[in-house]
Amino acid sequence: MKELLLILLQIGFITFLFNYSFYSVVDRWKVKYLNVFEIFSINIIFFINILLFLSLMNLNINSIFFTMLLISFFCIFRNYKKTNIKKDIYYIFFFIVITFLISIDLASTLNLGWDVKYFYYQKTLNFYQNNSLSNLANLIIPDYPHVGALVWSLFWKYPFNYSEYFGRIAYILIYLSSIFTFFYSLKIKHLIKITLIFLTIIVTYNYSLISGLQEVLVFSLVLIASKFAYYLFTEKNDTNKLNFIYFILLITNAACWVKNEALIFLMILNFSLIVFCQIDNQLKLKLFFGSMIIVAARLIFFIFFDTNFVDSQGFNSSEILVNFNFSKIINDLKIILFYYFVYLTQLPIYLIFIPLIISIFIYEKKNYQIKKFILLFTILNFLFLIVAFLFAFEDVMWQVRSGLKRFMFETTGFYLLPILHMLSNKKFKK
Amino acid sequence: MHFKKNIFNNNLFILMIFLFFVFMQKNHIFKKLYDLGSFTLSDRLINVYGYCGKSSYGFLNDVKKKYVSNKNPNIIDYQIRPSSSWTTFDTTKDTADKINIILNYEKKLSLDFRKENNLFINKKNIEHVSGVEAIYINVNQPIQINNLIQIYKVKTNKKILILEKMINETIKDQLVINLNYDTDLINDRWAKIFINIIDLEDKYFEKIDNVNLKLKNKYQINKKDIIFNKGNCYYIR
Repeated sequence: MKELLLILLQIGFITFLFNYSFYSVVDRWKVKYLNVFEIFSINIIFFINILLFLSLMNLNINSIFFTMLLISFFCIFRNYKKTNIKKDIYYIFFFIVITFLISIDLASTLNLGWDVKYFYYQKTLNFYQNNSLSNLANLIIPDYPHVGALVWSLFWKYPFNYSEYFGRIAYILIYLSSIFTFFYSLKIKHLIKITLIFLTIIVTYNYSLISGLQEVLVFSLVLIASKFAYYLFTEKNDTNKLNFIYFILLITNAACWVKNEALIFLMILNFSLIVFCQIDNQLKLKLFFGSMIIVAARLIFFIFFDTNFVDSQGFNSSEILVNFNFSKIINDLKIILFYYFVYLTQLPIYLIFIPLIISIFIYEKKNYQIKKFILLFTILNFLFLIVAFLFAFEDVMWQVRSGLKRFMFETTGFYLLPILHMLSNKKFKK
Repeated sequence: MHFKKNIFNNNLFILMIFLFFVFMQKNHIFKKLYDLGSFTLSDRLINVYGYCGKSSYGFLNDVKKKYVSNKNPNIIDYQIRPSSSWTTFDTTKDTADKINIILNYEKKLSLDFRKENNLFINKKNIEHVSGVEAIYINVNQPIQINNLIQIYKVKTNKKILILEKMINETIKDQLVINLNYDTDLINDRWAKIFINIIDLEDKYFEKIDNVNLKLKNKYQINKKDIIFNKGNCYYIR
């Protein structure tokens, strides 16, 4: 009982710290119609970015925690408003119940994933044991992104310092908040909305998501970014559009410090937006240069750790060029494509996406730009996965079997966009 | 929020309840809730990560509690999995220079091979081997072999020869080829190891049941070096 109570308190504490992040005091970035879950997600994005900034300042976890706590109190006192959550109360209750149930799954199963035991856990321990970012240089794969480990260690240590899995409860909250954020604004019957949210959880959730692997964070960030990208297509107000671009850039920055490939996923999303979103050229330039700055910051970090990125990722480009073997490439391509289609069937969102996007293209005559946006992202994402697995690793079969599904899962959130588009579109609603 | 009372909503509500229990059932939430109430965190950790076996969480924690050290233990595991060092790792300490914890120790090491495409491929991977003692070839009918045997592995698409040996023998049921050959190349966490009996005719290949390597163990544990042990897990000097 004591442990169950601690889990509930932990959920409450993380929600508090997430919910009172810097966004609530940045009036310029406010978008009036955002709902409680969207605001919660934006706060999480701010939270992760602030956390990242503090870690890059080489602060240890104690200093980071008290800074975050101060920020939260500052935000409450500066901008205390009695928020009316009466209309959202059922959803909030549902959100907490599901968080609690998944936390029970976590608390009982406990098991850490293979890669987690191999290196993520060491990163988490590094921060938990009060070492700063620079100490990562003494551990394996020092250049690998650390923000997921930082979030984990922060909530492992604070407030209860009970067990490492308490840190992973933060992952559950981020995961669920992204799904609620994605569907909550839909103007459909409440029960349909709850069913949609629940179905998405059922088809995406399994324990491995919270086994310490970072894919769940990338999934959540891509899902939130997709929602804001969707708003860019529907929003008329330029100020709001600019705010959504800032949010997407903050998500891009957070994601690329969670996993390396997340940078590519978000770059593809941003590029697709630049190409097909009908926004002012100035906004497009902001999105472009913002993305470039994020890439540059990540590269500087690699230089800081004196990392040969090419070697660390097993990418033997020079060797591939010297020993170019066309028949092997074809053979590897066959393996990748075979497993790609196998995993498509194992990730239900892809199975839902394919008929939906086809029906949108067939039945919706109006030439919405969002259709092209979804299509371009899908094509570029597919090509990236093929190229990454074709050239990056030594044993393609082994790598594909152990990594491709996880890669594919990370962007599945994006493929929920057709549902959002159809349910927001009057033609399909009739 | 108001739920209209109509058939559509009723059906959706039933669907929701159904989905809720599907979720609970699929993830065994009821059982896990019971486990959470019945077992302490420490019990659950040992259950998940093992005492001596799996990640040997229990054994390593006992060593940490009983024997204070200013260095992280240098751990080797005879089973291939991520190093168990994560269970007790201290990021502020160096790791001991000498191996002092051996997990899932196996005194006698061997490697079985399965038949595939006129080759024999290892059934599992192995580490902590210092050489090959002998090759065992088991047949279901007597055969005459006068061929070169090659043992190699493939890594980064490159063939790495481990050893080769010419044999000219008649095998009735089992042939033991003593080699006493020292090599580190058998040790590999991922790479496939192959045995190829070069130019062996198909009719003879069919008659071979399996091939097995008897291997030399890199580590011998002396009783006087053991500080603490449980099962096949050893804390040594």
